[in-house]
Order: sequence, then structure tokens, then C-alpha cells
Amino acid sequence: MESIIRAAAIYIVLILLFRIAGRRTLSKMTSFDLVLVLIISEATQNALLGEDYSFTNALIVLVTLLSIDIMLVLLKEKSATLEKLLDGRPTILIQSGHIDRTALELARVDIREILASARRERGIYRIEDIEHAILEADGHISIVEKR
Amino acid sequence: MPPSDLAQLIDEDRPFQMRFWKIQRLLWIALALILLFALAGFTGRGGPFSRSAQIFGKVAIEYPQSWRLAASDRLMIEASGSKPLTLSVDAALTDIFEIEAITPEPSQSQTRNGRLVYSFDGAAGGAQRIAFTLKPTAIAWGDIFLLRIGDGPAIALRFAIWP
Repeated sequence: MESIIRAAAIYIVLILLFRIAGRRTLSKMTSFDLVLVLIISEATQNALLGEDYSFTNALIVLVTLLSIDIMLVLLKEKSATLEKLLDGRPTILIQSGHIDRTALELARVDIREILASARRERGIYRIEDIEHAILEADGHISIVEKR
Repeated sequence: MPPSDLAQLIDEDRPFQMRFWKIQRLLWIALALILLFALAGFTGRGGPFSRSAQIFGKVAIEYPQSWRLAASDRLMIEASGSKPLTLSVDAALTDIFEIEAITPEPSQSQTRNGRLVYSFDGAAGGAQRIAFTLKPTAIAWGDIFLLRIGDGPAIALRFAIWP
């Protein structure tokens, strides 16, 4: 039972912390972020397994994590509010060529990141050529080119 | 495209997002407070408030105010004078701690009235320092009676064991 409680608690804490940190935290996987993810996995490993390194414990922890994940997916399908709370909603950063500075600041997105996405996705080099820029719920920036 | 059309098209909920950003910033402050709480020592393992000391006559007990489950720490007992010392451990201690080591080792240990009783020979130089290395095995908090000095009453120590 302890393994299940441990795994569930760690899962909930991680979900809460990443939600608090913001959706941009894990989408920008720079080498620095990779190091962060590695450290997080190392730091949570002991809390997940405790002092029990048996195969049974690892199996229970894995089954618990996967079960919670499946359960959350099913719950999110049923409840739009829960989905909104856990995953967030897209945010318009540039609309009809107009830059929403407040949204940029609050979402902690730099104009250079929008330009980087524009170059990568659409081959656009200038901000004036962007019609819409949308920060998606998963942290990626979608670009719509001006016609 | 009119602003409301795009927002509707992509399912944006700006009022929700604004509320979320506001709460997010408040939670950032909460995270900073948790860090300060930990730095001060309230979550154990170092920090100005991590340990506490209490004096009972000629015996001083120094112990962590905050323990962490399965993380060993030391409870120190310092007795002034060179007389032999007897310590008896209440059931509460063995319920929530595993005694990993006692340094120096007691000259005698026995069970009396359901309690573990340790006897220590007096130190030649005067004061004697006894270290109990304890590993928490359960979550607990509050005033907990852990041990007795000689035949005295049970001593309550205030501490918490974090999960």
C-alpha cells in the first residue's frame, strides 16, 4: 500500500509543480532543461521506491503511475474544467499582426522565441510577416503567416 | 479575422488564463516560502531551527526538531558528572524509530517493564556524551515520550517526522 501512496503522491506533486512552473518550462528542451529533467528523475527515484528495490515494488510503482495517468486521461475527457485546469488552454500572443505584450510577459514568452518558431515552422524572418502567433497548451508556439 | 473569432476558433479562455497567471504567481511566492522554511531548518537536516535542546537536571538532550522518514539522525544526551547513567527507552521510541547505533555502547542493556533499559558507566573525565543514531520508521509529530533518565518520569520531546 505504501508504494501506491508514494507513487500517487509523487505524481500529484510533480504535476502541480510543473503546472505552477508554467507550460514553457518543459517545452523548451535546451541542454539546461535536459539536465533539470535528469536531476528531477534522480531526486524522485528514492522517494518513489523508498528502501525497497525489489522487482515487485518497481512493478507496483509503474502500475500505479500508469493507472493514474490513464485515469486522468479518462477524467479529462469527461470534464472540460479538469482538462482546462491540468492542461491549460491556448493563448493568443500575436493577433492580426498586433503583439499582445501583456500575454507575452505573463506567459514568459520572448519575441525572439516567436521569431524562432516562425523561422522553424514557416520560414518567416520578420515579425511583421506574422498574422497570428499562438502559445499552445503544450508550450509550443504556432505561427500563422500573413497573406 | 475578428479577435473573438480567433479566440473561439482555438478555444482560448483569456479570463481563465488571467486568473491562472495570477494564482501561478501567488504559488511562486508559496514555493519561495517553502524554500525559506527549509533553509531555516524546519524540514530538518541543517539550518538554524533544525535542532532543539532541553535540559532535565544534570542531563541535556539535543535532538532534531524535524526528522525525515527513513533518514537517520542523532539524538545526543549529555550528562554532567561522572556517575553511571541509566536510560530507559519507552515503547513510543521503538514504535517510530529504529535504533541504529548507540555510541558509546551501553555497558548493559536489559528489558524492564516492557522498556529497554541501557546502563552506561560513568565517564572518567566528567561529562559523558551518548549518541543515539535513530532512523524514523513512521510519520509522527507533537510531544512524544521517548525516554526516561534513571527511574524518572518519561521525557516528552517535541518534534515532527516528515514523510
